[in-house]
Formats: sequence, C-alpha cells, structure tokens
Amino acid sequence: MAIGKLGAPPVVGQPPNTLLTRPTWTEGLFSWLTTVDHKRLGILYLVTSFIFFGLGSIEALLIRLQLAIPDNTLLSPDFYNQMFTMHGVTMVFLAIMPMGIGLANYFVPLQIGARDLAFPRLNAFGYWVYFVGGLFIYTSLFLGGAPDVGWVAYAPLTSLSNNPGLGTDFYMIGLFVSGIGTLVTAMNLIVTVINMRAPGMTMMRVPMFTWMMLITSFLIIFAFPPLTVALFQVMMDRTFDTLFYVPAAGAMPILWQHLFWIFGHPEVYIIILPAFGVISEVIPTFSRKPLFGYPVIILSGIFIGFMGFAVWTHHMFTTGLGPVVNTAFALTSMVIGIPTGIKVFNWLGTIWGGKVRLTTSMLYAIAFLVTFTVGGITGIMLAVPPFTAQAHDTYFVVAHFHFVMGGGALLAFISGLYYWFPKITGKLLDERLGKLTFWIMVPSFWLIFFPQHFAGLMGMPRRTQTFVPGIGLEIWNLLSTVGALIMGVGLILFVLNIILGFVRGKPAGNDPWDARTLEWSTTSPPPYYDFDRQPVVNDRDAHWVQKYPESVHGERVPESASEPYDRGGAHIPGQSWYPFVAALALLPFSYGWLYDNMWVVGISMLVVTVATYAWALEGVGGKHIPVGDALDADTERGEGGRS
Amino acid sequence: MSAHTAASVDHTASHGTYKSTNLPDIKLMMWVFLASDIMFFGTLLGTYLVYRNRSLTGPFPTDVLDIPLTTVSTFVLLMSSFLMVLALHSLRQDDIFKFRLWTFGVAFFGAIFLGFQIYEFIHFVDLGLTLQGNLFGTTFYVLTGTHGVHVAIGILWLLSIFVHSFVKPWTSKDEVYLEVAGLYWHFVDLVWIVIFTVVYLVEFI
Amino acid sequence: MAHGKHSGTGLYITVAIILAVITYIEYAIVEFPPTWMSSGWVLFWVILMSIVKFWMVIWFFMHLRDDPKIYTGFFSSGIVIGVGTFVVLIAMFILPRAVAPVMMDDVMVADVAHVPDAAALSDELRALIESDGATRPQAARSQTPRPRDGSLAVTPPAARTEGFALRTDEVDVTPAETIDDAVEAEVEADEPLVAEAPVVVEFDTELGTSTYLACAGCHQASGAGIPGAFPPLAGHAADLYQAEGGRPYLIGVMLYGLQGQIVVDGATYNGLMPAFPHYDDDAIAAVLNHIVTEWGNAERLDTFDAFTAAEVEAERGQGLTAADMLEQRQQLVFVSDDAAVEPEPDTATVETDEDVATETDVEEPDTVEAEVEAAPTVDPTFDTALGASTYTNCVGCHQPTGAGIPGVFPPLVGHTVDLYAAEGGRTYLIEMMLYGVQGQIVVDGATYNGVMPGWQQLSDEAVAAVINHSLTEWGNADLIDDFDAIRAAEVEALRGQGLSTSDVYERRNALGLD
Repeated sequence: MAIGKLGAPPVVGQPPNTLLTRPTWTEGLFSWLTTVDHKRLGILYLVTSFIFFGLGSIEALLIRLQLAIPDNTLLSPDFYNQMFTMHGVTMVFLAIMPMGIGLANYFVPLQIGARDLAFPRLNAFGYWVYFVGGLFIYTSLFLGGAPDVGWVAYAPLTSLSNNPGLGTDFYMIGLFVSGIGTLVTAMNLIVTVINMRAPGMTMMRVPMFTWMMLITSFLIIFAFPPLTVALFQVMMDRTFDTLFYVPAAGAMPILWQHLFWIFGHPEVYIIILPAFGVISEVIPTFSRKPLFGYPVIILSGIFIGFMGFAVWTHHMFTTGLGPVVNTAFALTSMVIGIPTGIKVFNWLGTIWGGKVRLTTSMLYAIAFLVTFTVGGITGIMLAVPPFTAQAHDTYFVVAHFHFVMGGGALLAFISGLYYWFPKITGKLLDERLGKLTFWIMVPSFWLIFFPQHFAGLMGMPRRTQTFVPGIGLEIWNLLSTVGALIMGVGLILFVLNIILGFVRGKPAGNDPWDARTLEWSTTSPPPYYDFDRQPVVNDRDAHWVQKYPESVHGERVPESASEPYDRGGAHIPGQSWYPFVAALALLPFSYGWLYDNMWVVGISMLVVTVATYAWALEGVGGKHIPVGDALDADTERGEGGRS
Repeated sequence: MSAHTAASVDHTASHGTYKSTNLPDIKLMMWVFLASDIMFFGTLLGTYLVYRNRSLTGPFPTDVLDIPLTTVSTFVLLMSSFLMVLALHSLRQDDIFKFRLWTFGVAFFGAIFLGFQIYEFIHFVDLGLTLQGNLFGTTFYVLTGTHGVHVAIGILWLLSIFVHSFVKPWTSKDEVYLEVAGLYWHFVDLVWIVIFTVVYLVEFI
Repeated sequence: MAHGKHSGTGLYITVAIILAVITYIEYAIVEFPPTWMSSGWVLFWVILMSIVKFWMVIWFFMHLRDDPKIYTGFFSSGIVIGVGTFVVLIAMFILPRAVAPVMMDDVMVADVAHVPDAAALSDELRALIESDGATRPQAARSQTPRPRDGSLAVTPPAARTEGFALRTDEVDVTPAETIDDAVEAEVEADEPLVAEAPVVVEFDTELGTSTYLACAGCHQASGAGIPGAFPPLAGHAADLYQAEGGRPYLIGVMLYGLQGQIVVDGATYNGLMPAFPHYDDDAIAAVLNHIVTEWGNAERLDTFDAFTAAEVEAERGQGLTAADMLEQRQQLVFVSDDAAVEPEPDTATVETDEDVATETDVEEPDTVEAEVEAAPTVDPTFDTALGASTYTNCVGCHQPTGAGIPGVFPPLVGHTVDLYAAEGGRTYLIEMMLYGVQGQIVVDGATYNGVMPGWQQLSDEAVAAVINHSLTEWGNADLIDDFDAIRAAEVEALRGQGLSTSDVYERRNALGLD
C-alpha cells in the first residue's frame, strides 16, 4: 500500500546530541507514530475521527432505541445521561471538527502547492494531543462513568457537590487537552496558508476550501481560549475549591454559559465553514464551471467568521437577559443568515447552466444544499426570542442543529470523502454502491430529524430519558428511531464501500474528475514530496488552466525554466519522536489531575518540558531531494503510481 | 493580505522552499499565538471584572492591594521590556557580549518581578486573602497567577537562549529567534499594563 | 553603553523614559488625587495613559511600526474581537444593575398602563394579568423536578395531545389553595411543564425581581445578607414563611420595618430593616413572593401560596413600630424547630401533598433557629430625644454604635467630628444629610463604597438634631472643643440647591481631609 509512503530520508546534518535517535522508519507502526508528513497525519485524523464518529453513532442509536417507545426502560436514566453527553462531546469535538481538520491537513498544502505545513512537527503534536484527549475522555466509560452533564456542561451542575463523580473531570480535562491540539493545528494552518502558497497564488487565487480553513483557523484561535479558561475554572473549583461557580460565595454560574457560548457559537462555524469549503470544491468540479462569485463567497465567509463572535447569547435567550440584550442579539443572529444565504445562492449559481455530473459526491453536495438550508431556516426561527422561549431546549432545537451539523457538515464531509478518496488512495470508490448508500443515508437522515421538529413543537424536551404514552409523541419518536436504524445500515454500507475501495478499487489516475485545483496535478496518491516541481499558479483554478491553457485570465506567471523556484531542491522535513512523546505525556498528566495526584502531574509536565527542549534542539532535520527530471533518477522516490 | 507574484524565492535559506511572503514562519506564528492569547487573558480579566465588587466577605481589593509596591514591580517589568529591545538591537549589530548581557538582564528583571509577585501573594495570604476565601481571591490569584506563569516561561526561555548562546554562538542571522522571544516578553508586559490599571489602580480611584 | 550610536537606541531610550514617567504619573494621580479633579476624570486619565503605554509597547518595542502590516492585522483582529466580546459581556453583567431603578419604574408604569381601572379589578384578575409576565414560563420551567435517580427525565406535557388545542383537564396536581382555580387553569394552559412542579410558584416574578433590587444593597443579590448586620434571606425567608404566624409577620416587616438584635442559624444580626409603607401592595406582595421562592427557597417549601396584594392591604394601618415587629418575631413558631435535634427534617416525606413527592434535592438542614432577646441598643440618654429617634433611620447602615460597616458604610465615631472641624465641614454635613453622597471615600485609611441617601423628607429640626446627635454620641463630644449645635435655620437655608450625590461627593473631596 503506497498511501503516505515515506522515502527513506538520509538525514542532513545529524544533530550531535538528541535524547532519541532521529527516526527514519518508512513503514510500520513506528513510521506512523513519528511521522510529520501532512498526508499521513491527515489520514490519521480522518481515520481517528471516523472511529469516534462510529462511537458517537452507536451512542446515538442507543439514545434512539431508548426513545423508540414511551416508558421504555432499555437504558437507565444515569446511563442515558452519559450517552447523550458523550454523543454530543464525541460528535462536536472528536468527530466532525477533526474531520474538517483532517481534510485540511491533507489538502491545504496540496491545494496551495506547498510540500508540508509550516511546522510539520507541531502538526504531529496537534494530532497526537487530539488523539490523547479523545482517548482520555473515552476511558471514562471504564473508570466510574462517563460525563453526564450534557455537552454544554452548565454550571453549577458541574460543581463537586452537585456532581461528585469523575465524569465531569473527564469532560473538563479531556476537552482542555484536546483543545490545545486544535489550537496549535489552527495556528499552524494560518501560517501555512499565509506563507507557503505557490508562486503566483495570490490570496484571491487560493482555492475555496483552503480559504474557508483559513477563516476556520482564525475562529479556532479566538474561540478556544475562552473555553480553555472556562474549563480550567471549573477544574479549579473541583480540584482546589475555588469559587468561580459557587453561588453561595456570590458567584454567578451564568458566567459559564456566557464563556461556553463565546466559544460555542464560533464552534458552530468552525464545524460548518470547512464544510462550505468542501462544497465549494465539489460543486464547480462536477458542474464544470468556475465557482460563481468567488470573492463574494470569501467575503461572506469572513463576515460569518467575524459575526460568529457577536451572536453568542442567542443560545441564552431564556436566561432573562432582558429585552435590550435579546433584541440586539436577535438582530445579529438574523444578520448572520445573510452571508450564509449568499453562499447558498452562489452554489446554486455555480450549478446553474453547468454540465452537471451526478456522481455520488455531487449528490451529497446537493443533499447538503437542501438539508442545510432547512436547518438554516429553523435557525432563523430560533433567532426570534419569543419563539425560542417556547422552543428552547425542546426537540425542535435538536432537529435544528442536527440539520445544520449532520445534514450540513457531515453530508459535506462525506461528499468531500467521495471526492478526494481517489486522490488519497489512487483508487476509485464504487459509484453504484455509493449511490445506493446515498439513497439510504439521506432519506433516513430526514426520517430521523424531520419528525423531531414536530415532537419539539409539541413540547418534548431534549435530553429527556423517556416520555409517557398518550400525549402524541409516540409516532414522531418511533419514526426517528426507525430512521436511525436505517441510517445505521447506510453508515455500515458507507464503511464497506471505503474498505472495498481500499482493497479492490479501480485505479483512479491523477485527475479522475477533471477537477480544477492543484492537488489534482500530482499523482494519486501523492508522493511524499507532494510535487515533482514547485507548481506555478496562473489562475484561480490552477490545475484547470494547466490542462486548458486557453482559459487563463490575465497575465501568466513565468515558469522560469532557467531558474526554477525550487532550484535548491525540495526540502522534506525529518521525522521526530518528540511531538509524540510530548503529547503522550499529557495522558498521565490528565490522569494525575483527575485523581488529584500532583506528583504525576508534575512529572508529566517535566517530561513535556524535556521533550520540548529536545524538540527545539533537534532542529527541523530532514533531507533535500532533487526536483524535476533529476527526481526521476532518484531511487529514493516513493512508489506512487503515475498514470 | 500582502501576497504578490513579486514575492521571491528564499535563495538564502538552506532549502529551496518557496515563500509566498518574505515573513519568517516562526514570527508569524508568534503573532498568531499572541492574538490568541489576547482572548485567553481577555477571558480571565473578563471573569475578574464580572465578579468585581461581588465578594460577600473580605478582604476586599482596597484592604490588601498596595499601589506603591506594585508600581515598583510594574516599573521593573517595563524596564525589562526595554532591555529586551536593547538585546535584540545588540544581536542585530553582532554585539554578542551586549546581547548576552541584556538577555540575562531581561531574565533577571523578570525574576525580580516574579519575586515581587511571590512576596505579594504571601503577604496577601497573611492578610487573609486566599484562593478559596472570596471571589476576589479566586479571580485575582488565577488572573495574576496565570500572568506569573507566563513570566516564568519567558524567563526560562530567555535563560535558555542565554545558555545556548554559549553552546552555539549566536550571530545576527539568528535574530528572529530572539525577536520571537522578545515579542512574547513584550506581550507579557502588555498584559501587566492592563492588569495594573484594571485590577490595581482602578480600585483606588 | 553606546547609546546614540544607532538611530534606534535613542528612540528606545526615549520610549522607555516616557513609559516610566507615565507609570509614575499613574501612581501619583491615584495615590494623591488632585483636589480639583473628580474621580471620574482620574479614571479617564489613568485609562488613557494605560492605552498610551499599551500602544507604545506594541508600536515601538514590538516594532509593529516598521514591520509588515500583516502582523498588525493579526494582532488587531485579536484585540478587536477580544475587547468587543468582553466589553459586551461585562456590560451585560454591570449595566442591568446600573439601570435597575429605571427599569422598576417602567414595570410599575406598565402595570398601571395595562390596567386602566386597576382598583376596580378583582384580585383574581389582577393576579391573572400579572402572571402573564414574559419571564414567567422560564421561572416555571426551572421548577421541573429532577427524578430521584438524577436523570433528566421530564414530565409529560400536560396539554396538547392533539394538535395545539389547549387542554387543562389533565392538570391534576395543582395545589389546593393556589390563587384561584380560574387563574391556575389559565396559567397551566400557558405552560404545560409546570404541572408537576413540587411547589407551584405563580406571581409576578418580574415585579418581584425588580423590587428586590432595592433590598439587594443590604440582603445582597445572592440573598446571603451581610454577616453581623443583615440576615440572609436564602433559606431564612422560607423558614419564616413556614413558621406559624410567619405570613403576616413577613408582610409586617415590610410595612413597619424591624429593629433589634436577631439570631439566624446561630449568627447574630443587628442591622435595621427600614419600613417600606410607601411601596404599593403589588410590589410588596411580589417582593415577598420573590424572597420566599428565590435562592432555592422554593425547594424548602411544602406548599406555596403566593402573597396577594389584598393580603398586604389588610395588614396596613395597624400603626406598628419596628420594635413591635421584633416582639412579633419572637412569638413565631418555627416549623423546623425539631430540626435542631434531627439531622434530617425530610420535609419531602412528611407531607402527603403530592406536590413534593418528586422532590429529591433536599438541602442540608441548616434551618436551626434560635431567637435571643436583645436589649434595645440605642440608649436615649442624649438630651435631644429627636436626635436619638431620628438616628434610628441611620442605624441600619452606620450601626447603633456608630461604627459603620467595613468597606461599605463609614464610621461616625470620630469621623463626624473631623468633618465638623474641617473648613466648610459644617455646611457639608448638612448638605450630605439633605442630598446624600455617593462615591468611594477613605476614612482613617480604610475605603468605603456604600451610598448615603438624601433625607430631604425629614424636617429641618430632625436633620439638625440627628447631626448634633452624631457629633456628640459615642464620645465624639469629648473630641470637640467648642461645640456649636447645628440649627434648624441653617438646614433650611441649604435646602433647594438640588445637588446630586456626586456633587456632594465633590464637595467632600474639596474639604481637604487628611
């Protein structure tokens, strides 16, 4: 299997004194543990996030089974609380968001013609921290019970007196740790997009997925610190008896809600903007048209990102903030619908008049458009405070955010996977099975969540463990559960399709979709050095004008054959143990904090510090490879099949 | 954004990676981190201000805070920032002795500031202000303590540079590594400027 | 040191000197505020100077001045989002407190406006109208019980089996003595989730909350009170409500005040509760309902039957005094007296009422109640009886001993004498009594930040007498060399200036006290 194959790097300028020998594995477990290759890390992100997605789906199925019939006793109330909390935490923090980051890891450098992220080892650290955080949270199931306070974990429900178990600590510490990983990865992506673009790629030529990831990364670096601090405050309350959320001392637990939603609302856009980016790649490709209104989509994305910080209290309309605050935030919440609507019309404008090919990927993209728009409209309804006063914390809200998160982000990412799978593996997915899966997945998705609108309007509260018969909720809940079971089948078929694609997919070739952006100009899968030669960009659709030079706009950037941009050879960063070691040390750190063992915490921090020093002193390392024609003669080349 | 086709190849670097801007990755990274850190301290300061005047029992800010003492420590931290600028300036001039001197000076002044803070904490605890005593104690210690941790990390970083400059002689080519540490240090100073005003001075007006 | 050799160094030295000077000025202006500068201006200048420092460090030390603008862009985006977010956040917490009096008036005006012929309406109808407040559904929802296993299982909606038709017949758990069946039915139809609440709390929560703002100064927003002075309402108000005779007592305290030492949970409180007869019946009923049900009090109640305006009206006109109320208090029989011996009162199971059957989160039984008779602390030996009796208005804050309350209300012992001795102090004392004073003050090195209200409603004689009282009590008389009592005519002369509390505060600063 050639995926993420590393050439054996003869390390240049081996540093004299490092604790651990610089690793050079090209395959096997250790090559994955020590890799700094953005493509391998992207695959790790995608695989890990899909495993978490599977776990989250199992939790969702349990929830639906419990609610299938009234007065059901399948799950005990305690276990039910753990399930809906873990479902929320998993889907938001461990599945959907890392899915976007995984795609970004793989495709942002390829789309901008770079050979890696700006800080490859930091990228590895980011992944492993996310992995450690997720693992830590999931061990709670075996160590005294998972968190059961809802994914929003409102204070003072999380105080030690109200919640003496360890579940809440798992939530707080786990998200604290995995948040660090998300933060460093976002910073890394920003620097990469600003600094590593290919010659000729101005910001107004950057592919839309990369643009959306840039905006997403800014949202992450501004939104995660408030969450980190809030989690830290609760942990201080629980560990050191501080008073941040102790009402008896005059504290106001509502502050948690503010801090959580100052993070939480941008988080919604952190999840959905990468999805917008994926859709903005898929739709032009399969419509054979340039993206309609490219600058407007960027501007509306920036506007969404900025306004994302100005709407947080619409999650708190019913907390008695008063008419002035509610009105102001209702207005900003409705305003944020405008740029979102603009994007939808841009996608429609791209499809309009195009030569549309209804591949599986395109079908998911269209399903995204419809489903997301419905979720957006219920969002506008919920932006009206008097309506929220009725619908707050009911299944109407549940239906709304599943339409935007599941129907929006998830369908878009599946679309993106069908779109990019040939690039990642060099093999095509089965289109017939794909379309069958589509016609199972999307209708069943609607069957799950559309009835929940009605259950919600009838007053069924979210997070309810059961309901009594005879009040008109049976049919809606039963439909939901049936839908969930069908969608479960759809997901299994989806996974089956992926596995079949790996095992016996037909060779894809470099550019199976006749696509437009740079990642399709290299081989499938890309070699470890990404591009034979530094690509030069002459147009917004860089690969398209390489294929069809007559469609180029404006002045061409010279290829400059006499003095190529990479005349010094391409530099491939070296592998390293330290990101893995530093991230892994956060696991004992977390358990030490959890069990209030400050010795373990201290020793773990010491390991992190030592690893950081070793990391800094180790240097970038890696090797130079020749480029262009000289590369063909190089025996170290990866095995990526070229067609 | 300032990307132009005119941006050139980084010919001087040891590897041929093309840079779309001529900005050092690490410096850009530091600014992105600092932008993020604003939100971090913003949250801590926001919490402090939301809970200001809400403590049910003493000691209250005016009972413990000592403006003259803190003015001195503020002055020390400001001057350490000044030394930081001198250190970078000296390195750019390849004046390695002064670069080492000023870098050590920054760390030393930072340590003095940290000493003041430790003294202050011990003194406050004597006056009855504890982490668990009232809301003022909780928010004050966590806010200034987090700042103190930032200072401590900065000291460690600068001392590491100081030691490293003997292991592997630094020249003006390495300036960006000092500059980045300097940006971090100045930011810590900036945060203290805000804390000094909002936490200390305002209470006595 | 080779300053000046390079153009940069000189600039950096200049910047460093300016930064140092600004820091010194900040220190000086705060420690020794110029008498001609109000505190508002000091604050303004300090903040402005900090911003200048902030900018100078960024611009010169972090050399954003010379660097590509992209760095400035990154950092500024952080500053804009950070400052914007947290200024709005803090404003949301602080502004409601600042505009509270205005909001309360609005609510009252709105009530009157909605009920043109208020007096003609029956109490039931009034309750119906008031219960339709915007915040009510939420208050009711918060009462949704949490079952014993701690899950979030939720009661079935009591209405709307088909479509959206309102069904009230399923509301079978309404407490018997709630306001009125008709009102109850209407209310329940509005909000199905309230059906199985342990205690149905139905009243104008908005009016209660806004009225309580007037109480929060002493009893605190958290209902925790102030140790030694003002008893907590969290827990205590519910116990009073449940006590035999507690219901009229609570109304009486609002109407006639309370004075004398009381003991709550073993702690002694000696502040003065002023009377609020000038509040209308609705407001008093609402605020009583508020304190009896807030801060988890509702969970302590077996049943809750909201106070009504008519009830308050009936208690008026008895002409009781604050001291009478103390006597009445000592006759209360607390339900939880047994709780002193039994660790678990277990109110949830004692009652057969199904309302409480779902209650699980029983608070720790801290309802031990013991009343200690307190001798009257104001000693009427002062020759001016009027001064002593007027001073009863002041003891709530300044205490019978004249010692004040640390951090909030300054002592009068020693301090009034200093004021009297200062140049212009005589006038200031009178103006302060008439118009009040607001702003942070420092007395003997300690800071105080309470509000002194104006007392223009007192007669000239009473104002003069109470000042004289404060100047001669608690040994103050010994500190004055030649005491020239304040005269009523002086008070009269200073009336009608229309000063604000901050005007008086500025006059105080101009006194040149040490």
